[in-house]
Amino acid sequence: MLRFSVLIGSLCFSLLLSFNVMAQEVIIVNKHNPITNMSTKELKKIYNGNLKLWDTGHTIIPVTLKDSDPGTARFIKTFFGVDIEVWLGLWIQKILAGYAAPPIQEKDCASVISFVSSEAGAIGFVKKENLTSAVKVVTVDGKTEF
Amino acid sequence: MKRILIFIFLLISISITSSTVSALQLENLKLNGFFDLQYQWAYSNNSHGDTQGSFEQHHFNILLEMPVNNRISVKGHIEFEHSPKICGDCTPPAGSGDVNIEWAYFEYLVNNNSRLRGGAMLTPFGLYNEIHDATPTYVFTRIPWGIYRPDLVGGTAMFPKFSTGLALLGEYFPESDFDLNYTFYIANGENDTKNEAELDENNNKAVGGRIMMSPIYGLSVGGSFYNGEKGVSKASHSTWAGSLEYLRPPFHIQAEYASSNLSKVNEISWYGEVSYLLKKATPYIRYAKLDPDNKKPNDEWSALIYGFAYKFQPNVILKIENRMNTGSSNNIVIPDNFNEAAASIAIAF
Repeated sequence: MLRFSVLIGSLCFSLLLSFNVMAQEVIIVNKHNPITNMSTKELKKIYNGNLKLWDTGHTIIPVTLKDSDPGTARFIKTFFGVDIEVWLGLWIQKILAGYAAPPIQEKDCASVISFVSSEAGAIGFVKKENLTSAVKVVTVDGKTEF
Repeated sequence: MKRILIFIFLLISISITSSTVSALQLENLKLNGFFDLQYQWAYSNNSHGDTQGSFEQHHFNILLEMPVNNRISVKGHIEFEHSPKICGDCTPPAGSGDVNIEWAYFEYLVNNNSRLRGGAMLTPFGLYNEIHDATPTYVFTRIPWGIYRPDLVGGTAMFPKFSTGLALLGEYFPESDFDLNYTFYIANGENDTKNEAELDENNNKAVGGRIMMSPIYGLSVGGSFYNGEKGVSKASHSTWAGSLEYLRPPFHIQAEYASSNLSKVNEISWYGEVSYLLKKATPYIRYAKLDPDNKKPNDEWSALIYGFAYKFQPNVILKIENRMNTGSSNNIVIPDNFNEAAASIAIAF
């Protein structure tokens, strides 16, 4: 019985741990952007290059971490449901057909925060532990982290 | 019609000048492009295709985009096809490559659902014409020639590859899974001899468009149309196509059917293709068919193409394929059967 309880306890702890590992990024925008929540579909349209203007009239400037960053792969898998290689392939098609310019890439979370805080229309994602007060967190379908 | 066009130009001018204009900064210039090298060898026992086997440096293309302000951008695409030789003090070899402006246009972002485009562009038709030469965007070494280059397999062009004029394009995406994107344009249309980006050979303006709908994630269905008069003789030309694309990894399926009527000659083409997306490797197969004149017997062309693409990374693709061409006795380009092997490396940057 004791062994069974230890097993269940370990399982719950592992699940909790894996949840924390998964749910560690947040979506950020410029502090002056009035938006507080967006839908998954809106976020996808922004990162697909289809949604180009905020309600304020500012141009939307999506930012990502480098393709090789695990956070980018997780972001793509979470919101687009595909591997990053597939997503990049679709972007190559959009770029070479002249339909959209790809998201700006920054080397780390600090650079993403710096860029988003300086550009009125920027939107990005960073690890929650790197979050500063220079930017604002927006929820996606009411959720803060992913 | 002319008054309407002048009115549209006036509206564009007012829209552009009323936007905030800021100084251009070179750091905002976006530069992309692609390159490919191919090898082709017609190995069957007749005179069709490249029986010697040749390396072909096909494309070296540069794409530019310069935002002028937060609503307006100018885009250009310069193609160097077959490494053109332009000599100052020598005679270039025959067929010495091409330098093309694939597109040169401005775009004005009206709102999230619409953009106005003006200039020279690749005609928005079907799934492939706007990526006609961009080989890194597809796994096959060639686009389906029956619809997009019928002139190379015994037919006539179903629509102009390039169009110069004005286009309204955009997307409509409500909160449900449904998506729609559209393009409508008015352009000079097809000429017989002169550059249509400079002069229209007749007073008719061609019109066309494409609507693609995505009722569920991964599936797109839609259609394209083109209607105009060609050249000095004002030959009536009308084409429509239905398109289907299903992209839900690991499957990618595309199929199109097109019907063209030029001077009462009805040309029909279709193809279906399937690729299976693995992490790096993608086997693929396509069957394509063209009937250049549906009233003329024995003039069809068809091809079964199968191969294998390997993506070293998303923008670097190696392709190896076999093409089994079936000709017909009345086809003016391919009167009998022949097979080709091809390999290429395509790189986007």
